[in-house]
Amino acid sequence: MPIPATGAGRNGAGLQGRDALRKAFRPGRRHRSWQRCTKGHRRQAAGGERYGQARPIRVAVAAPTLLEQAALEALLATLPGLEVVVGQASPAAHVLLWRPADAQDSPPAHDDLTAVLAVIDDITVAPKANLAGLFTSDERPEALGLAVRQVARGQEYLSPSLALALLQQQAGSPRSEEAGLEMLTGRERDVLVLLGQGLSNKEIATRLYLSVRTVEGHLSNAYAKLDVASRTEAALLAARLLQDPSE
Amino acid sequence: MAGRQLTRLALIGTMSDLHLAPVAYDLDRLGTIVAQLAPDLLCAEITRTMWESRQLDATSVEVREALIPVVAATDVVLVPVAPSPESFDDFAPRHGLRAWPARTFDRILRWGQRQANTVEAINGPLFSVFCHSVCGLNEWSWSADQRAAWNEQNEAIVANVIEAIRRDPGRRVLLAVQCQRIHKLLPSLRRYDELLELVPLERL
Repeated sequence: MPIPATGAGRNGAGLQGRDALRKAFRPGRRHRSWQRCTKGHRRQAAGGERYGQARPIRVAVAAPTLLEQAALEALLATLPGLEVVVGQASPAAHVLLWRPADAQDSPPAHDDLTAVLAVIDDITVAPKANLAGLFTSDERPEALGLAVRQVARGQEYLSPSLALALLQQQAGSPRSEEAGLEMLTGRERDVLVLLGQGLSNKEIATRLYLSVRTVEGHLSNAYAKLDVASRTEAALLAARLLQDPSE
Repeated sequence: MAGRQLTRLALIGTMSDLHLAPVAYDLDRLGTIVAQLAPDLLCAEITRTMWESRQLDATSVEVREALIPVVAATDVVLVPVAPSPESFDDFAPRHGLRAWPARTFDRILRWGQRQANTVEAINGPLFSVFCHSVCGLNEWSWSADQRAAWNEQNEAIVANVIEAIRRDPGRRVLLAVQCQRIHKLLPSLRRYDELLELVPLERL
């Protein structure tokens, strides 16, 4: 219930004191005492102000049809921390979200430092271009934000359904990394096991109550110890680890 | 420990059960702030059982409708730190002589929370002093058993936060709890200065 604006105390001081208290508690255009109390930081109470160090990730979109282009841009606009830019914007986009027309399609011209994340329906239309990640259309829409963040940080991204499909295709390929597996720490092994189940970095982090960066660090260390060059290779080894309980 | 990086920990206070009342507290604003801060870990007032089973009906509205959606859409990882689902009001006396001062202080606190009806005001220095004072007086009117149970729950929250920090040291951690807890948690967290550095929100 709001404080009544009329009515005075016995000597008027009560109303002034109450008014001052209300002004102190209610930040707005006229009353900024709470801002002055926050040392050294001048902020506005409107939306869009910034805390901390987060900067938007610049994402360009390329799709074969205007409708798909508009749909991807509209989805990206709903995801926090992302900024949709025109393809040839300056500075260049961090990530190019590319919907290939078919498996023979190539991504449009882009800056060398831009990571390309392809959106496909299944593995049969996976293009052979140099990509930072593959995102399938059967994933949750909000997972697209996680995939964009992951490739923007220089990591690879592979949708869980694609990881499983690749594992099934390459099941039985002989590898001999027992020595590498023995070098893994307990936490690296835990992360690798979940990778073998097709979980994304965020899902692994959520399961183990670790930060995403820590999971990525463990994966990088595991890749080096196992002498593998990609997430897919590591997932294959992890699948072997799961199938062999004596490891 | 030489070379060990301290975890940066900030606290953000929420209004918990007051969201059920018709107050202009913007849950979207809470979610936006958390998304902008982008902590590595978000310690939230939800039990591990509820979080892992995704049984969210009994959780507070700010966890269910502000924090969990942000976690789902970003790289922020939620760490459940509540040992049980009880909140501040659940420990207060409801009957007998102690109930009257408890209800009075509760009304004063709710009045203050209605005036400070934005996330920024709730976490500002003026409301912090007001809330800490009123909550301290409120708890003083409780029985020894009620205070002990409240303290035990808060110490368990601190223990869970420290466990999360030890498991993943050197990260940026945001602890989101109902504002009535902050004056209890801060002194306990300060004991772990070898593990963490308590910072204001804008320095996280």
